[in-house]
Amino acid sequence: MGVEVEYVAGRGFTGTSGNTPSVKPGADHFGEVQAWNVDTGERVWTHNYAKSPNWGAMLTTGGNLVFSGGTNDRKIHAFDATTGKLLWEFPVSSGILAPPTSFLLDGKQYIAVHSGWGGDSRGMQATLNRLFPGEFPEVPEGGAVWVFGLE
Amino acid sequence: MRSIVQSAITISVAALSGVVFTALAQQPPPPAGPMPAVLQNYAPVTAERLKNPEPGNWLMIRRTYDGWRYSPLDQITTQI
Repeated sequence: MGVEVEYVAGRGFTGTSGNTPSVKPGADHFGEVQAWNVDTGERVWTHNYAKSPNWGAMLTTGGNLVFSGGTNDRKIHAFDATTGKLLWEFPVSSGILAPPTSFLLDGKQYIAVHSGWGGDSRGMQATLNRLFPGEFPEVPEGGAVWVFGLE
Repeated sequence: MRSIVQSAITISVAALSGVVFTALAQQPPPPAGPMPAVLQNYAPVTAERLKNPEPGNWLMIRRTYDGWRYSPLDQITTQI
């Protein structure tokens, strides 16, 4: 993580150190959410997840929000799309890998997302717990659809 | 977003025990009631709707063929 891997011609190359994961000494975070201006090619803002990789897909909305799960604290997050300010987060039953969606029902907007941690996210979480016992939470498995609306 | 109400629809395979399944299978089917409004008003998903989906619905994985994963809905805003 955060370490350049040398390319050797003729050998397999994935850009990672393969089966021997490590954490760069002094690293202050794992995952990020990045917002880029596609007109200028410049990064506008970044939100760092101190203790979690980011496994989450994104939803953006006409309300100028970015919704995404992805973290091992089982939270869904809402960011101000312009500034990157974290406006809201809520822990659900399992980690969120899926992209949130939005829809209208009887004229009211809802945000829906599936939670269900597994696969590579679960594997990396197990690795982190092996490298740093007790520092990273267990993430419950199990699928659920969560729907949010303004009261 | 001043306050958020959430509800979960848990997909729990374990809750559907074999006993429950058997009991249901032996009951005669319940009499058909009136079709719920949500089904009466169901609009078929057509190629035209997929190409230009109305803002309130999410008809495919990234909502539109351009793959933006963007919803034009704007009731939920940055105002807290």
